[in-house]
Amino acid sequence: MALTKQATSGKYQHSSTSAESRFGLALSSLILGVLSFAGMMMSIWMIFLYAPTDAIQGQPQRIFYFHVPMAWIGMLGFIVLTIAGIVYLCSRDERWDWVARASAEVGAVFLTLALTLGSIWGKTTWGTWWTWDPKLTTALILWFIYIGYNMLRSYTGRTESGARAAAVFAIVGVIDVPIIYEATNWWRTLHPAAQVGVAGALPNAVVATLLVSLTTFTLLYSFLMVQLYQLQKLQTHIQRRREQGL
Amino acid sequence: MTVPVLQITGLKKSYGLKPVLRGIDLVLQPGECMVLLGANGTGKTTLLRMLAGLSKPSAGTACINGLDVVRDACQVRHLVGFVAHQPYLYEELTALENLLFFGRMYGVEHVQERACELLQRVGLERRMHERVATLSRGQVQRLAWARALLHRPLLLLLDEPDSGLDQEGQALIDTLLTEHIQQRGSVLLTTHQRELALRSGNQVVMIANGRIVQVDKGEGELQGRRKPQSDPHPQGDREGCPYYTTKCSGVYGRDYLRGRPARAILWKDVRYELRSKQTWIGMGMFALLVLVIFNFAFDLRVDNKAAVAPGALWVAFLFASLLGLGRTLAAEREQGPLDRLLLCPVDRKAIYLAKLLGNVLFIAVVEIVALPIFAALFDVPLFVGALLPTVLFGTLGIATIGTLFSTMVAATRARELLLPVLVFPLLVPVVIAAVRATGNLLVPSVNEPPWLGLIIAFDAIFLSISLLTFEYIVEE
Repeated sequence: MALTKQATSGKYQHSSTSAESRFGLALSSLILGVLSFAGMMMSIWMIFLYAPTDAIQGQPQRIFYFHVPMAWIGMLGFIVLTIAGIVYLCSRDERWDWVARASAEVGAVFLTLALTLGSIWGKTTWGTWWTWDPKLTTALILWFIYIGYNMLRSYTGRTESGARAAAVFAIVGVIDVPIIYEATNWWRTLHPAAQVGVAGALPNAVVATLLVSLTTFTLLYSFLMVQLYQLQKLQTHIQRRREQGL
Repeated sequence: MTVPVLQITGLKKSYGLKPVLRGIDLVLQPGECMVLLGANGTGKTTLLRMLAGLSKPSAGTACINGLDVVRDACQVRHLVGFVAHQPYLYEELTALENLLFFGRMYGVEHVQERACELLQRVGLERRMHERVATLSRGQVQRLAWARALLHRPLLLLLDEPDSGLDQEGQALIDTLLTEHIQQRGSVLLTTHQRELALRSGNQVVMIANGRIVQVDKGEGELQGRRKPQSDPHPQGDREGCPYYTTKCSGVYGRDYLRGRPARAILWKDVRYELRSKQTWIGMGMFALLVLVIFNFAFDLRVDNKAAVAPGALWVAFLFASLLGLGRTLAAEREQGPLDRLLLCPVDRKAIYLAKLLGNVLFIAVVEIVALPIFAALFDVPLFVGALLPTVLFGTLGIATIGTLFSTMVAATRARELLLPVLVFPLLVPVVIAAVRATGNLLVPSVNEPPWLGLIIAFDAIFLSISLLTFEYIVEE
């Protein structure tokens, strides 16, 4: 039995309508899983066999096809968790808090990978593991904000006050996301600016590979979100059972 | 037709899935005393906390004098006086200072006279200038009564009000209650003592497991003691009675921008700090230590001194500020996070603004001391260009985020660890801009962005967000 919201109390109780919602989540999980797997196979083939080797950077340039989608998911994840937090503050529907928690965990992992891959790529291209470039600095700030968010969730437990505090923290922290995106336009940076959509900037094969990779990682994020959402639901449910002494 | 003083319909409260109140229905008329009787953990205190505006119901409604406790929370708080297990007083302030503070928060007119009158009434006139920390348990309880009666509430909420009182104190409470009832005030009190309940209450309500299980008629002794003279404020005509305040005046509602409650909280915080001397000295010493350590830890040759100095200055300010911000709510936290302030009929934004102003003031004092020492240690000029506005707006940025987040983590475990983890990443833009702006003042360079403008923009954005979201953080 899943949980549905009781309109008056804001609390959750067992409901017979839960079977449909469980079936919907299982179906979407299956579809997203299959699409993610197929997309990943396609992306790997395109990244390593289809996309041309960069004439200057050589093979390390292929990190680009992983680094960009992962950074994108890192930013998307924080936007999703902020929107979920705002909706939670307005509606007090606990399901939005589960969405926020799920997105925070997935987003933090992807941003960690994006920073790590970026650092490896930077070593081969710029000759340094790290530089205080505006894009890198603002991305690192977002990583710290993610860690702070997850620590806050951990320290406050599964409480309403913890959910509200986390939502407020996300609202404050999300300001960093547009700054990361615009960093290459606002400041002179080592980090290259977005080239997709600029006519003639990149070969078609590179653009196609990047778009497929972006789509695949977005599908993977959605798939992981569904899994973690269900996990959050179960964890909350178990904790409440414990509180009731059942 | 008379509006009931208290009307509760289907009131429920749950923490998680654990229900504390499972549907309470009660009606209390003017001049009546209702006694809630029940064992520990049956939900009596939870009910009183909801009526006092410290907690929100999960379902159902409660109206005091026709005003909803959630929708009209600010006005309702003005109608209620609350005496609980905790006295909701500040230990480092004197008895008189406590009453003056709460009087200002409630917008009591002629607050000095009213406070002295009540101190005399509860037998504390000789100890009015002594700190609450030095008073006995019974004297603190008497002072808590004075605090609750200060604004002449319509409804007294009393959670085991006689605990810690000797016989003389209990007799005093009996008299105060009788006077309150005589003036057509109402009382809702909880107790474990069945005899007291049956003797005092017009209605005796037995609560078990979050539900009303029995309602008895009591002797209503308090009401029975009413003087035989004609009632000056008959039912339906409450406007002339000082006990019946139907609307907020002065410091309530959206009047937070006028600053009266903010000034009262600031006055209290400064007085508290001057007496306890906990924050300023610690912050100041910490800032000096950071400056000294940076001074000998870095290679300060003449050519790079101006480049290193601004960073050292702002790191010292940041670390010292964080130390102080962690203490912001320490005094409030001693008896439950912010409960003493949240009881008052004041907009939550006013509380945030007051705490922010207090933090800016505390940090500024430390900076005034630290700046000349910084100039001496790093051999840089002190009076340069726009240093003062840079320091002021940089400090405001630190305090804006710090005040919000220190409130956020006040009730969490390991808050000392969590606060820097939450605050530092968001303060990076302020620190960068402040360091660059200060550096530019020491060694002017061309084509520098308007760093001071960026700090001001940061302050404006985060102040707006903090004002909009503070209420969500303090809500129970």
